[in-house]
Amino acid sequence: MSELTQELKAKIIAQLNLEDLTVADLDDNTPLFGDGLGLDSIDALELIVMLDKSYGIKLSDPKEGRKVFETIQTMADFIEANRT
Amino acid sequence: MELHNYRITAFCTIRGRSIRVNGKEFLGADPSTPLGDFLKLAYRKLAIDYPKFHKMDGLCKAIFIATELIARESGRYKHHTALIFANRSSSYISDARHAHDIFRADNPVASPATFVYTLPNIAMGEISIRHQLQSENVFFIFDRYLPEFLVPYANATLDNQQADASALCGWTEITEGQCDLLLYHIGTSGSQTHSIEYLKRLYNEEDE
Repeated sequence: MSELTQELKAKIIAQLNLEDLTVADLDDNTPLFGDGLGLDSIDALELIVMLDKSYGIKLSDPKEGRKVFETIQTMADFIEANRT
Repeated sequence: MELHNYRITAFCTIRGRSIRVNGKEFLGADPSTPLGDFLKLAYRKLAIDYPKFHKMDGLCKAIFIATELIARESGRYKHHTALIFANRSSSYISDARHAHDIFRADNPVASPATFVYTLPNIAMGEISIRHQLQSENVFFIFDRYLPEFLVPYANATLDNQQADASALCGWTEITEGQCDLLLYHIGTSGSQTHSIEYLKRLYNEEDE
């Protein structure tokens, strides 16, 4: 699981152009939206595309996304449970 | 009879790998420096904290940097500062990237972060957010820099403002590796008259 969280951090930094951050700066339980990383709605769409492209997971229910994208850890848990 | 008495309060050019403000160099780099890296260097030199900069496309980044530098000379923009921009290639950089993503043979995918920049007026939205502008804006696509159109258009826009006339105008042509940008702020004070002749001279002088 730790490998997956590290991989996710690297992907998120690259995909969302978080230039000032490194993998070491991201905590597994930091909120991705709001007061945490401060991601926006376009970033959320980008994360949905990333789940599909990198892990073969299609997220069709927006309500589900709210929980899945809460933190790196919740994303990793969701991927572990649903990856194809 | 000249009815307008608007002045250029500050201007910025980004050409090749040089950024100049009011004719004075802010940043220069080797011509082989990739445009993206050069704009990132400029952002770092501005010493501001605005992480969203890194998400922008090249057009937005260049306009963002120029408007930051002009504000340092002309003062904080008034909320009604009109935006009147023009270029030749529209949002070409993002358009090409988006086309590449969706037409690729292997794993075609539309990236929202790219797609969102496939209109040139997004750049005006970005700087309106940054400088809290609630104003008129327009982005023209022309074959070339055309002060013969921009000057009377800006004058008409400024004439319609109630007081403290203020506008940001100019030419913002960005392609994958090249930048040809002249942005200027127009107000009611400043040493240079807002005129076609002056803006032609400015564009050509700064190109030398």
